[in-house]
Amino acid sequence: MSHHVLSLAMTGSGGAGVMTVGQILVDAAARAGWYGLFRRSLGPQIRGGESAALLRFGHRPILSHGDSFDLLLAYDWGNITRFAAELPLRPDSVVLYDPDAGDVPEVIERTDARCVPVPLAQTAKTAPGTRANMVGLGLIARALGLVPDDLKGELEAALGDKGAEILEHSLQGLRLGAEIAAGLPTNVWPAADRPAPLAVPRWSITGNEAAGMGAVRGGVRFVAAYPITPSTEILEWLAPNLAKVGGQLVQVEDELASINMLVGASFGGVPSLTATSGPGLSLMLEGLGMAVAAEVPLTLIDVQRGGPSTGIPTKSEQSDFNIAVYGMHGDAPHIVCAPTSIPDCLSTVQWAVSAAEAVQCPAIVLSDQNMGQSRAIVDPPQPGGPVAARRLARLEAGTAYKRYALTNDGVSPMAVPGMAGGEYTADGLAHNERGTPSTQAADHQSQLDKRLRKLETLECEEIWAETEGDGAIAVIAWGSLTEAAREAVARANGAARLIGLRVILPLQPEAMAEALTGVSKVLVVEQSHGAQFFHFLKGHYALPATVESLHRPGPLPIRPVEILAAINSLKGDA
Amino acid sequence: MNQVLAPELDFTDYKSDVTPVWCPGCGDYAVLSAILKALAALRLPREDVALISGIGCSSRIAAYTSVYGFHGIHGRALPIAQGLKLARPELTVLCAGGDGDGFSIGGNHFLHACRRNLDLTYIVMDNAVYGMTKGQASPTSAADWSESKLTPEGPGVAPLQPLDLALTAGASHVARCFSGKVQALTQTIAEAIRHPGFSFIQVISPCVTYRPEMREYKTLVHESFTEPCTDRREARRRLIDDDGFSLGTLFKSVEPSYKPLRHEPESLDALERQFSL
Amino acid sequence: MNSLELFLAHALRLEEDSAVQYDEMADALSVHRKSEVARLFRKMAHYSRLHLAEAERRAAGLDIPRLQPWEYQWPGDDSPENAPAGEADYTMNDRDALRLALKGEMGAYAFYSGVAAATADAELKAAALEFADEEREHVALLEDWLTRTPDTGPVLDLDPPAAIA
Repeated sequence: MSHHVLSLAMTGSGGAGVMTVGQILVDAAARAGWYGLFRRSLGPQIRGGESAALLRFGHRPILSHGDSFDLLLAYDWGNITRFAAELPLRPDSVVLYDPDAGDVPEVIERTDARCVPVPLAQTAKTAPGTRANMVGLGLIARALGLVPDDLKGELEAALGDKGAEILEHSLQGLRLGAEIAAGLPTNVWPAADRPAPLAVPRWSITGNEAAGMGAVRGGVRFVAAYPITPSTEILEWLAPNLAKVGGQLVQVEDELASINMLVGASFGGVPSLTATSGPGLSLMLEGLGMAVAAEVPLTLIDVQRGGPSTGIPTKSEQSDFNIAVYGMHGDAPHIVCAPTSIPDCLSTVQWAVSAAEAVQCPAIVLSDQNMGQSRAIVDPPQPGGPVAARRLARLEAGTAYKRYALTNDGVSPMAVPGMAGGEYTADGLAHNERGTPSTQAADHQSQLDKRLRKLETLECEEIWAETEGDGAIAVIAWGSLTEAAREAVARANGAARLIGLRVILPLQPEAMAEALTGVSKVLVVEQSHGAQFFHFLKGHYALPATVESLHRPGPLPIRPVEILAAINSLKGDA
Repeated sequence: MNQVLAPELDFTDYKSDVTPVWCPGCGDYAVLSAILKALAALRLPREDVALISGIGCSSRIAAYTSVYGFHGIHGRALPIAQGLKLARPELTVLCAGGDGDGFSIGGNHFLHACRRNLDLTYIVMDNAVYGMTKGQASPTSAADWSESKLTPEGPGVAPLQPLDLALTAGASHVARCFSGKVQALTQTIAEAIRHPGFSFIQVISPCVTYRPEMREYKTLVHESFTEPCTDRREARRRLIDDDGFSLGTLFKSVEPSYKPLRHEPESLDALERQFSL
Repeated sequence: MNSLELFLAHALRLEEDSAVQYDEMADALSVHRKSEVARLFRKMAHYSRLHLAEAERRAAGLDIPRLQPWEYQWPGDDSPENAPAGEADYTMNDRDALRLALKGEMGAYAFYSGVAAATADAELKAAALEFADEEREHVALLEDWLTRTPDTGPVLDLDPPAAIA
């Protein structure tokens, strides 16, 4: 596999155009047949901060970050110490740097990587109008076997609106970069053949866009939005696209309004969704609890970032697990699920919408910045998939409608405004079958039972987890670490198996027991300081006696090699 | 408001069989009666009307009607009502609650609901006290109202002026009524429902348990807003001399409402093509 | 008020309003375990319904105008028998309740007799007087009841209001 997997990084201060260059490179590479993954690391500034484009390419789908980088192109060293930890280099890695930007900093030098100067700024000066970022693009494209002509289409797409002159200068920059590349020793370049040309067009999509598309596919037609990093792109994508399918997005005054508007719209029969991040989820909890009590379906996507409080808005973490699972006061059964990869953001959100509608309760989808704001080149997903289908009441004259009727599966057929004879008052107060407020023990018990029953009867078998392999060590991961764990499992020579948990609530004891058959030890992998996922699994599932936790907070992603080391360490303990 | 006419119904047909939790003598009974009568007068089909409320004594009102209702959480009635109205614009949506619910915990939503100016009717039963938690000062209590254990020397801050706030934030129909004048209240509610925009009605509604002095408010109120202003600046000027007991419709003007983005329809396939390389 | 039809429209509204409100007060007082007072209000609701039935009987076959709720011409702000509703209180004893009902009935009597006095229409005058007479009977009944009801003094408020939210 490693023959055809290539990790590249580009760093530069604001203005270096690192993100635009990364985008053009990914798209051009994709057209040439590469699968790819484009992650971003941003500093806290609005403009002008340090940034890094983190790229990984392969002949097979690439959904996880790798262990380290084969090649780093440094336009400059601005604030490199702040994020050098996110750019692991090996002694055989190559660092291409512009000597005009100063000496190689100590933090890079001590990696023992091979540092090769490339005169980007000087070269750009030789041709008026060209820029160093285009020279760099022309240079680094060589690593993927791409020549300037391969980049031309993407360049036009990215810069076409800036005028013919700028486009021509940029092309000239690419050519100059390619010339520098040709002049470097060939052993600077990682060995990587160009892949076979594409048979069918692939998709270029971020986790946030995929989540938006999943919402539309699932039938969402109302979204209330309050911007928050790193979830905003979901909302921005949905704003025009929902309108195209007859839905709407409304920007509201705060997250409290957001969640409560969803409740209102969904009470009106329209599948509803919002996206937020940790601080927003905290504000929405009371509304979520009401949706549980009043049995109003809705979907909330939390694109997790570093917490608590404002934390690290631009960087990933998986530390909203507890609040999503346990955050609501009272006993409040609800759905919590997590996409396992960028393309899975589409199908998991789609499933969450349909599941919420089916059992008339809120669903929380836990994405994370690592998926949400990263772009992947993927095979187009299967069309179709589940669509919201709410069980509506069939109202008969002369029969009093009971909104919260106690049914076998707990799901009570719902009347929505406009249906004559179904008039009822939804209530967050404990209530009886009719919805009339009640403080009676029996009503409270039977309604709590019913709400739990709905979740227990929710069909999750097909999608509860990503599983792979049959080794005796089960690696249980979730969210964007699932694919890192998959790579580690693949490299463990049959010692391990993967369980990437997608459905967190309701619990899946039977499926888990089956998936753990033959397992002697468990390794739980997660990106949280408090090992939240580990404690959840220990508390709710029957696991073997040996359960180890590999966890750390964001923003440093847990890399496949670290998971592999933990697997090997467990193996050695046997 | 909804355009379909219901068969002629009696106002009691809009009433549910749930007994109110309100104290005998509470002004909210009259507000309920006025809402029921307004709905009957406008011949609105019960199934096409929704009454949304938050938490508090007056917010219990949703369950006392036989239209669709939502008795939500404290302070969030307006977002629920707006979500419903945006999703189902053909419905007649009313929102009701108290002064704590609307001006304190829900204050931000009040401002933005006024700004959005959706076709909603918002009725605040203002008794200047938190009844359900045993009589604490609310945002409309006087600074020196000292009957609450929580603020034994009074809240110490000047009360909010709800009409002023509504006017400033952009509500397009602003009125004040008194629960002791049901006929006028009924008429104002009916006009508010018919008004195509955000209608705000502050109803002075005595709390006989925690504010027994409010029983005497019937001698203090006076019809002063006889004709509604159609000019916002003029309405503000009128408020300068308001003693808090002026009744009537202060301001009424048909103004644009928030409208969601519209777009030429596209198929799901077309949407997905934007991801295809 | 110059026609029997318009008068009956008012009578119908007055009696229904008062029936609904007496029931409401009975329900409210039941919550406060004032069963005697509740019974009294229930009885008043019953009387109002009898009057309502009487008004409906007279209205049968006539073209009764459909008035909007705010188009009624009452002497005061609202349905005259309802006017004192705001004076209800959970501590009220039997005498308080009787006094409140008495006020309502006197309001209705004043309205009916006022209509009778003001009209030259013989048919309308006769009908209004008839309604007024019945209200006067109620007034007398309630006054008598009041004299027979001992004053039990102010109700001790042993259960202060509860916090419920």
